[in-house]
Amino acid sequence: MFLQKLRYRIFKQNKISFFSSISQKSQSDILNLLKSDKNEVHEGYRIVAGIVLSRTPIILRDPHPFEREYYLYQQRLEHIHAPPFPVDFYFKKGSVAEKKWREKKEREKAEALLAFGSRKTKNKTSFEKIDEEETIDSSDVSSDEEEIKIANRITSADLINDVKSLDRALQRTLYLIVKKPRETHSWQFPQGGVEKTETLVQAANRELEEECGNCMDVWFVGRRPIGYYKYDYPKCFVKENIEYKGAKVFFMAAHIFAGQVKVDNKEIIDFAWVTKQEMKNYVHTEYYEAVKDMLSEH
Amino acid sequence: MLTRSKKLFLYNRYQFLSAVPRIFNKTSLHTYQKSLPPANLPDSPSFYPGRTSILRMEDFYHSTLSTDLMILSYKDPESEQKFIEKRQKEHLPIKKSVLTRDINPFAINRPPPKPRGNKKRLPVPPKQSPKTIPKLLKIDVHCMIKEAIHSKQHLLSGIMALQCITSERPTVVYSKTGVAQWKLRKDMPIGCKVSISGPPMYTFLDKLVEIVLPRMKEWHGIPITSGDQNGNIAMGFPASALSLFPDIEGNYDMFPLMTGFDVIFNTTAYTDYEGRMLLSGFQIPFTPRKKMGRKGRINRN
Repeated sequence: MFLQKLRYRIFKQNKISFFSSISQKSQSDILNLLKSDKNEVHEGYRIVAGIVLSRTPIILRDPHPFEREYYLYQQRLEHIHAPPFPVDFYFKKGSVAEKKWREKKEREKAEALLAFGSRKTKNKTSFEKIDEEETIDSSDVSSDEEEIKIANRITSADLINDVKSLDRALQRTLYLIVKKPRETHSWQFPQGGVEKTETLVQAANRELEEECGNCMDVWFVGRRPIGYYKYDYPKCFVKENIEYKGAKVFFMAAHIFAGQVKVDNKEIIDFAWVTKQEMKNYVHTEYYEAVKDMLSEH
Repeated sequence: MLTRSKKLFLYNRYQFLSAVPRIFNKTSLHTYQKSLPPANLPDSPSFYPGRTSILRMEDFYHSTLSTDLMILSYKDPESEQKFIEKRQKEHLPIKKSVLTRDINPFAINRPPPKPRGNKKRLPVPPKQSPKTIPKLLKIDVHCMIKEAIHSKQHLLSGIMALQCITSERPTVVYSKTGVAQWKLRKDMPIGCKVSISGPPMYTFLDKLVEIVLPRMKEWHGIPITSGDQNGNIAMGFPASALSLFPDIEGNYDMFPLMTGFDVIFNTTAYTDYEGRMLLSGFQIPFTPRKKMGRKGRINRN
C-alpha cells in the first residue's frame, strides 16, 4: 500500500507512467526522496518563516501634557497674530448663518469674561471656575445637523483587558503571539518550516493559515524578511531527528485589516494581541531580546 | 458646547498680552538694538506660530508608513550599486578631452562642463539608510487662469481659492514667453502658485484623501505614468473639484470664476516607483496600466 502511494506521488511530481518499469536511475531518485523531506535545510539548521502580524494604531496618540500645553500656547499666538476674520466673505449679510455666527461670538466673549469673575469667586482658581460653568448649550446644535457621537478612545476591551480583542489599545500597535502545546518557550510568533518549492512569503502565508486559520484579511509587507533568529533545538530533541541541529527563523512583516485568529488546539492552543511592552510577560526573555528591535514603539 | 480645552484657550488668551506684536520701525530701534528681534519670537514682524496640534497624516507616516516603506524600498547591496552606477554613468561628459581634466593643470578649478545635447541628468542617490526613506517634502498647488489675459480680475478668484484651500498666500505667476495666437505677451500675470510644507501640507493632504478624491466624478486615480523620473508625482484637478473642498463648499458663490488646478507632490524619493509607493501609502489611488508590453512594464528604476 505504501509503495503504491509512493509511486503515485512520484507520478504526480515527475509525470512517470504509472505502469512503466522503473529504471535504475529513477530507483535512486525514489530513495533520495525518502531520505530528504521537503523542508529547506542550511548547515543542519531548518529554515523557518516567522510572521510578525501587527494591527497598526487606529487613533491618534494622546499628547504628552507638555505637548498639550505647547499646542495651546501656539494656538493662542496664532489667534493673536491672525488677520481679522472676514465675516462678509464667509457669511452673506442678513442671512441666518451670519446671525448665528454673531450670536456664537457674543456668547464666547461673555464666557471668556466670566473667567475674570466677581469678588465671590476670587479665591478659587481659574480651572475651578471653568469647571463650574461647564454646561451643554443645546442652541449650538441646529435641528438640521445630526449630533455626531464620538466613540470612546478607551474601549470596553481596554477596561476588561481582553488580550484576544483587536479593539484594545487603539493608540498602539498590537502584535500576534500564539501559544504552542509545550511547557517551555510556548509563546512565540507564528512560524513554520519553508518547503523546497516555495518562497519565504509563500511559506509565511501557508503557515499563518495552518496555525491561525483562514479568517483573517492579511497583507504581507513585501517579500523581504525583517528579522533573523537562530536557535538550537534542545539536546533530547536532536537525538531523535539527526538532520536538524536547530532552526533559523526569518521573520516576515504583515498587517491585519479584518478578521480574527481561529484556535484549532492542534498547532496552537491560545493566542494574544499584545503591545511590545506587554510581550515581555508572555515570551521567553531570550526570544524577546532577539525580536524586540523589529517591533514598533508606537 | 465649549469643551474644557477651548475654554482654557479663550480665558488664557488675555494672560499673554505681551505676545501681541509691537510694530517695529528701523527709526524706533534703540542704539544698542541694531537689529529686529528674531523671527521665532512673537515680537518680530515676521513671526510665524509653530504647530498647533498633532497632525494625523504625519503621525501615521512616522508610526506605520515609514517602516513599511523602508521594508519595501530596501535594495540589496548588488542592485543598489547597479542603480547608483547607472545614475552616475549619465553624468559622464561626452567629450573625451574632458576626461583628461585631472592631468591638465590649467583646467583644475574650472567648473565641470555640461555634456552635449539636451540629455536629462538625474541626481545620484546616496547610500541607503533610515534617513533615505521616501518622505513628502512639500506640495505645490498651481493654477493657470487663461481668462486673465483679457481681464486681470479673474486672477483674484484663483488666488482666493488657493488661499482658502491651502491656508497660505499664493504668489502670482508671470508668463515667460509670448504667444500671439492666444494674445499672450511676455511678463503677463497668467496664474498663481503656492508651495506648502509641514502642518499646512499634511492638513491639505488629509482633506484631499478623505473628502475631495472620494467625491470626484469619473476619477479612478493618478495615471501611473505620472512622474518626473525623480520621485515627484503630479496630478490635475478639473474646476468641479474646487467645490468639493470644505473651505469652498460653504461660500461657493463668493468665487466668481472656478478654475482647475494642478497639485505636485514633491518627495525625497529618487525613483517614480518609490514616489508612487509613498503616495499610495497615504491612500492616493493610481490607475493601472491599460497596455502590457514594453511600455506597460513596471520600471522600478
